[in-house]
Amino acid sequence: MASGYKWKVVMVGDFAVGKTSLVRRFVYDEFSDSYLTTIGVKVTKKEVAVSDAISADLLLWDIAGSDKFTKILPEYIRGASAGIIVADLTRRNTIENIPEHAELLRSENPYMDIYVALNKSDLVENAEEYVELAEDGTKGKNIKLTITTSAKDGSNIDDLFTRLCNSLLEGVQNE
Amino acid sequence: MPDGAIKIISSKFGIYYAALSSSLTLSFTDRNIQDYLGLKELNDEYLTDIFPELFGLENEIYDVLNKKKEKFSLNTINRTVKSEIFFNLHAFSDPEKENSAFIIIEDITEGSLSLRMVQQKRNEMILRNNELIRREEFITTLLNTIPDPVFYKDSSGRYIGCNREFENFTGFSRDDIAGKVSGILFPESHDNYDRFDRELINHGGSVNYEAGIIKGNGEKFYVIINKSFFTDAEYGGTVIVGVMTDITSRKQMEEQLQILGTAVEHSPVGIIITDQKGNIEYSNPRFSEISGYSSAEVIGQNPRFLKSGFHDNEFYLNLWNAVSNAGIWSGEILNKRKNGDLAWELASISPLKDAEGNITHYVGIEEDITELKETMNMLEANRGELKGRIDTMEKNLMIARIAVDALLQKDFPRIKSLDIECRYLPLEQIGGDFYSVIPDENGVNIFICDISGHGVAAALFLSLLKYFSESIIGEYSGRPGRYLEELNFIYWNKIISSYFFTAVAGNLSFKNGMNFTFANGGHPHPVLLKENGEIFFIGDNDTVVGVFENQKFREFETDIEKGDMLLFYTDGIPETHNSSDNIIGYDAALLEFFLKGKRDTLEETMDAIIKQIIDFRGETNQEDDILLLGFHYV
Repeated sequence: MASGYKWKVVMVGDFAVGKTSLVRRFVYDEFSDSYLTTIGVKVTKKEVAVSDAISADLLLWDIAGSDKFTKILPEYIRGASAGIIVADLTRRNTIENIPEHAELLRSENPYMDIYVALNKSDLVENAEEYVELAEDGTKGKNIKLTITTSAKDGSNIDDLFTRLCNSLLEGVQNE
Repeated sequence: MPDGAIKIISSKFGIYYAALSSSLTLSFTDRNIQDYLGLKELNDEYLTDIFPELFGLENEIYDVLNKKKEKFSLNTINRTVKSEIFFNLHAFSDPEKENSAFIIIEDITEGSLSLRMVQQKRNEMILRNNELIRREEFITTLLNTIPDPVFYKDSSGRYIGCNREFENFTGFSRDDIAGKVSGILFPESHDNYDRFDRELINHGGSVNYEAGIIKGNGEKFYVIINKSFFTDAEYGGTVIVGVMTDITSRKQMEEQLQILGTAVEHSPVGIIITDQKGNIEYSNPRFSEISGYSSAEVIGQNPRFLKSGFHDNEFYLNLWNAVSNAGIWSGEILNKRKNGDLAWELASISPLKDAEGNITHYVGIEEDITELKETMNMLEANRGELKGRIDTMEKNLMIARIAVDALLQKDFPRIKSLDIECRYLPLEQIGGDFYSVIPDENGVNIFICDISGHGVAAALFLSLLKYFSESIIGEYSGRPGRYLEELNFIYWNKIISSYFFTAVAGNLSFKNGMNFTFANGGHPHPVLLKENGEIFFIGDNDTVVGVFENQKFREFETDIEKGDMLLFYTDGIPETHNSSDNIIGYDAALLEFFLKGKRDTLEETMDAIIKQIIDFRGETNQEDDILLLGFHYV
């Protein structure tokens, strides 16, 4: 299988929304209930098959959660092909902060593909109802996809990354 | 740099380095860096293969290689080698060599782990606070969702908080009550509150009691308060929770029921209430008075024990049909008292229904009309007798009316140059108006009078007056004053004093032209209507005839010219009413009335005056006899 592509994907969002857990579930297919605050940046590489003939290296940048006390450094985002904004369905304010994260990603790279993962869907009923709420907040920000996920039971995570890779591949092939 | 120095810097200060060539390949001159990053012995590796963290940042590195920038750093990179490591990565230009740079790794693991510990604690605290806020919001929402007023107090009886319904109900906000005791908010009832609070704290469990509270706006309301408690260290050990249920409507209904109960107990009519099968559940004291049965004797009984046997089965069938179909039966019923006496009762029976329309009870109301019935029977018996008497009286009245009619003069003497006309509109009752026109050798004697009263007695006196007045006219002809004085004497002497009359007596003489001599005993003034349109009352009047023993009457004299009309009348004309309760009157208005009726002939004039009277009266009933007597000198 030919592997010619390497894409930097940054994970952003408020603290404790499950960015690290999403990466762990996607890369290692494992989940831990214990919460450990991410400091700085941790880069994890995952080789994915984007088609029967093509694979790509995804470099997943797990960045410390940002809030009014801790800002994300621009160098962390620079050179990224895509960004995933992660929010916690059990904390409404993390959903309300999605537009701010989208602004930050766009300020570093106006053409970046942005995805929204509404995580911890296993903890709420009718998780799909929150998609509309999140989409209302990000209208006009050219979000590629808003999807509910659960790092705990793995729901929708492969779907999220598959669609992300397909979109990036399509972008490269169209260039 | 000597290897020893590098070793010391690496091991003691955690700083490692590698050299970077223009092709972005690394040569590891410091072997310690390979150990630190867990790399095998490799040389000439591509930069981003070893440091994927720099992927996408190659332009920054080229700037350093080309000396466009002196330095580029990427801080706090986290990797797991044997354990977690944190390092800052710096790229520095090689000051001594073109297109060459150094990669310096600065280990910050120790500081980062400490920082992570601090941030971890801070995040956990924030999450915990968020959870606390969320729980408090949940509890507040929960409390506000409860549709009854809820409050909670600490062990010293001071309010801590309440729900929204408590605010709405009492008119006090959460801030108003916070920290206050019930004595300030509900002054009338706080003793009770404190007593029950103490009881609750001492004995545990829960308490409930009724209380009256004065709301913030001064209104008094009644509530049931249910209280319980739980322990909480923050609020002094015990928190009392209370729920109020508004029972004001129920209380008011109880008061109304009490008033209703009292009214029923003291009702002047007998009342019984039965269940739907007809068994008596309640009877009031008046029922006991009427029937003779005590309440205890009738409870549980069917009212049929009161049956007298007077009414047949159809009567009772119709009674219950009316209750079922019309919702009420009312009528007279003969019942039997406890002592065996029969009692007529005016009774009504109606069903009571529940909210679904089902009959639950029947109410019977009865009023003792035995005495009334006896009186009515007696009256009925007397009615026939009375009717006979009335018939006789009416017959007598009819005869009297015919007699009076016969007494009134129909034909007047025919005298050249003098027209005489009379218009008489009597009431249905027999009235007391009378007149006579009797000729003598010089002219005519005129007499017009109005006897007080109506009916048979007035008719009898009228016939007496005709007899006396005509029997003495020959003796007093031409002396009207004396004539009235004689009639006064006869009347005063012979007739009971309450019957008197007013009269004008006069003599119309043709001896020298025509003149009229007359006396007036309290009668309305005669009117002289001149041919030229002048009109006036003539003479004056003295008092009525038949009241005072020696009454004197003055005489007056008036010349009558050709074309003049002389008019006499009784009080029925000036006292004619209209619908606005105005009368024609005795003054200028009356003269005006007569003047308007003036025509060429007396006959036409009389008819015109009578028509005016009828028109003036309109729909109003005639209240007195109307008599108009006229003379025209032609």
